[in-house]
Amino acid sequence: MLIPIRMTVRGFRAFTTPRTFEFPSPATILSGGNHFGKSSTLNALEWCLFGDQCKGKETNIRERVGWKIENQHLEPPDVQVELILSGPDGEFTLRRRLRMPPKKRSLVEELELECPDGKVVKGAAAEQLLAQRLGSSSFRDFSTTVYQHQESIRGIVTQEPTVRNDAIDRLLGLSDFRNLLSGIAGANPKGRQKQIGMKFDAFETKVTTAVGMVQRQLEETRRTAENAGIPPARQTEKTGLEIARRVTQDLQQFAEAMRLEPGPIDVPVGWRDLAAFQTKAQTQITTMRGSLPDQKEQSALYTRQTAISGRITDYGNLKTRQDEIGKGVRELDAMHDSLQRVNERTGEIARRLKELKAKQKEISGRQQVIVEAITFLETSGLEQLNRCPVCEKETEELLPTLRRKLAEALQGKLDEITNAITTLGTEQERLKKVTEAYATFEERRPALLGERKQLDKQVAELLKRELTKEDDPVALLTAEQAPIDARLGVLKNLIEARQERLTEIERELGKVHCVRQVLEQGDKQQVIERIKESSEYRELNEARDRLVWFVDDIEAIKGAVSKASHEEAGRKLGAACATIDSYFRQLTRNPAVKEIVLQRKDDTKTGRNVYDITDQDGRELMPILSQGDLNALALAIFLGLASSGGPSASMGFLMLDDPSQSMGSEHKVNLAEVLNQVCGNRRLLLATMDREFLDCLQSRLTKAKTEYIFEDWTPSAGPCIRLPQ
Amino acid sequence: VTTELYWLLTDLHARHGRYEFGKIVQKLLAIGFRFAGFPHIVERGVQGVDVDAADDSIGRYSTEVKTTQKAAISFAVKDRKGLAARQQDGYQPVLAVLRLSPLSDLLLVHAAPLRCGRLQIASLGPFRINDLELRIQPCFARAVREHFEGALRESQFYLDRVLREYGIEVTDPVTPLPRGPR
Repeated sequence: MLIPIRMTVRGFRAFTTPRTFEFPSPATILSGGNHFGKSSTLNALEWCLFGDQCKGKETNIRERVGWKIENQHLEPPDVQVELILSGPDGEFTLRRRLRMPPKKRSLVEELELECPDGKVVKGAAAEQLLAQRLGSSSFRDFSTTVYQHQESIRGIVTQEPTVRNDAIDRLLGLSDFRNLLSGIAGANPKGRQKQIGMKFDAFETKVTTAVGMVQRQLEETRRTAENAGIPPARQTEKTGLEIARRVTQDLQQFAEAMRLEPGPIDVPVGWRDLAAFQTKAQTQITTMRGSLPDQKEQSALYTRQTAISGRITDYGNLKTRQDEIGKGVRELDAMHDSLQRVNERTGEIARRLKELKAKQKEISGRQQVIVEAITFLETSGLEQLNRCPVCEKETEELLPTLRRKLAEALQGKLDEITNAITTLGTEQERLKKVTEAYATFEERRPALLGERKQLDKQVAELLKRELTKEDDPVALLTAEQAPIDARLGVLKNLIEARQERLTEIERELGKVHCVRQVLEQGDKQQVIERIKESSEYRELNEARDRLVWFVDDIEAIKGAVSKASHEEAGRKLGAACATIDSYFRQLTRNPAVKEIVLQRKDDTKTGRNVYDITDQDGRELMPILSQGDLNALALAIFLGLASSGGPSASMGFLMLDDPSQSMGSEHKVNLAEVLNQVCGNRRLLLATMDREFLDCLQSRLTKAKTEYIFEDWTPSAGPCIRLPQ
Repeated sequence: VTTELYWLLTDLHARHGRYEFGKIVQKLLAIGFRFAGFPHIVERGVQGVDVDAADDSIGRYSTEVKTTQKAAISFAVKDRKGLAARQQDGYQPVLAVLRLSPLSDLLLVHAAPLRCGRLQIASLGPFRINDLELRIQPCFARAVREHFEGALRESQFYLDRVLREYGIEVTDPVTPLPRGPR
């Protein structure tokens, strides 16, 4: 068993300058107020043993996350803890250091182990040697079985069964088993196997869907083939190739008969050649459809027939237009006698208009004179009222006379002439339009004549003969139409028969297509069998089989570990149960609990241990105990198991940090008495700030004690420690 | 199974339903054993292990047949007990598993190491009896092809008749319903 002899601490958390602690007695008590460095002392020992394992999330201790090893007031940081431990083969010294090497930006941890024989080992070798000496006890084991850290120990009495079971397993030194089982449970090999199976099932479902789809298509193509005249039994490669051969022969015979040269076509030898054959044969059929010899004649005759019909129509149109002109002229003549009569009338109107316009001018001149005379007389004096302004002849009532003459004679005449001019002008305009209408008709006649000549020329060319005035081109053209129609009728029947033959061949080719489709769908269906025959599929199945063996092996390992863990837990609990019960009853003296029973069961799912803590009547204790009792229970289990072995078996000491937390005075007395018993087989390193509990320890702990009193703490000097006087 | 066989089996399943399909496969497997050259075959419709097949040179197999469309089968305690009872008579206990899926095969696996409960078909791979599978699978396929029409039409009635014709002992045969006006 390892027992601490001496420890020197420098630069670690609360410590600045080097301080040395001796542990010569069965009990070492660190007393003093909060924040004076007691816990740092215990932590220093822990750090010296486990280094960086003491901090971080993995410790499962909240305050250890972001925990600083180095003192925050020393620059540069330089931590060193030297611990001398006594082991079965003598004393050995551990020196753990954390420092900032020159020109480096991060701290480096170093370990040095000086063996009892004086040999010094450093680095990884030192860590390895230390681990051996610690009996493979991990930091987590240490923190639950040697160092009664409040947060770790709290796990024992938590309401959360998983945490409790984990904590008790660790107290029992079964953490390796538990870790293994947790690892297996975390790896979840069966679950993963199931997942792989599900993925494979999903693949199979896809394949099944695909196969179903292909099957439906296959059925459809089979039906199509049957409708095309190929019974299911003949929907084979042999039939496809037979039909293809027949189509090839038919095409060749047809081409020879038509004197066509469509080019060679390869006869397919396997069903996979059918697609290419089908394309080529179809191209040949299409080409031959367009190049049948009779079709050229038919096409030429259709062209001639169209030209003749066109010319006949042209003659008809020309005649219609000529008739229109004749009719127009006749209508004009009916209304106006003739163009000559219209011209005569137009000349007459022109002469009359000339005369009227001269008369109008004359009257208009006289009227002007009278108007000016009236104006003069109206503006002159009374004495000149009857004197003519032109001849100065005196006339009675001259002004009224002039006014009357203007009104009655001149004005009326002028109006009459103006009206006559207007009437004649209108007539002149009308006759002008009639003349123009005559002119229009006359102008159209030569154009029609030109068109007729052109048409005659075209017809002459079409009929390949000269046309004379005695010929009726329309009759000639009509006569030409009849033999063409007759020939076209003959050709039509001939060509239809040949096209029908090609259609028959095309239908046969369609059968090739149907058979090919059936064969292709069948081939797609075979893909599934090819999947199964593929090396990848075989490898996959082999891998799945290996996985089955692997999972079986893991399950067997799990079973073995589980069994070992159960047996070990049963054995240790059997040994410690009475001690735990005794400690608990001593600590609490709770009259309701006459006995505590710590029972282990199997978790069938994970293979791990499950613990029930009950009273003598089998009642669950957790829900009915007070906080003080729960703390006492945790301590009882911790101390009971520590006293009876477990992972702390290699450690000859226990460390308790403020164990009297939440305890009443009576509990504290009881705890001191229990610790007195524990002290019989383990050395105690105990830190407390509780004065009352310290007094209890002084009076009830009968073993020799070394006390360090932590009086104060300053940033520069660190803890101020003294020994009792 | 081949895709052709898959579709034949699918048609049988669709026509007769899950329960009847299991019985049909059992009887077709018995015929398969006959095709494979087993001279002594017993097919049990209701009581006991589904099919016993024995041959002096090939071996003696007692087979419990399981059919499913899913990824797992249920291997009940009574199945295990039945097989164990046959084992005492010198029969090797076999579980025949047919998953109705295009990628699945008729599996013949050693039943002795299997635990009872729900078994993933994928986990049966290591227990397959390869030589027996090689012998029986093509014969089973032949049995399905040859008797598909009859099984589709008349199901177990037809197959019981065929089994008897092949000289296979049939216990608990399905009694045909008397013919008469409907």
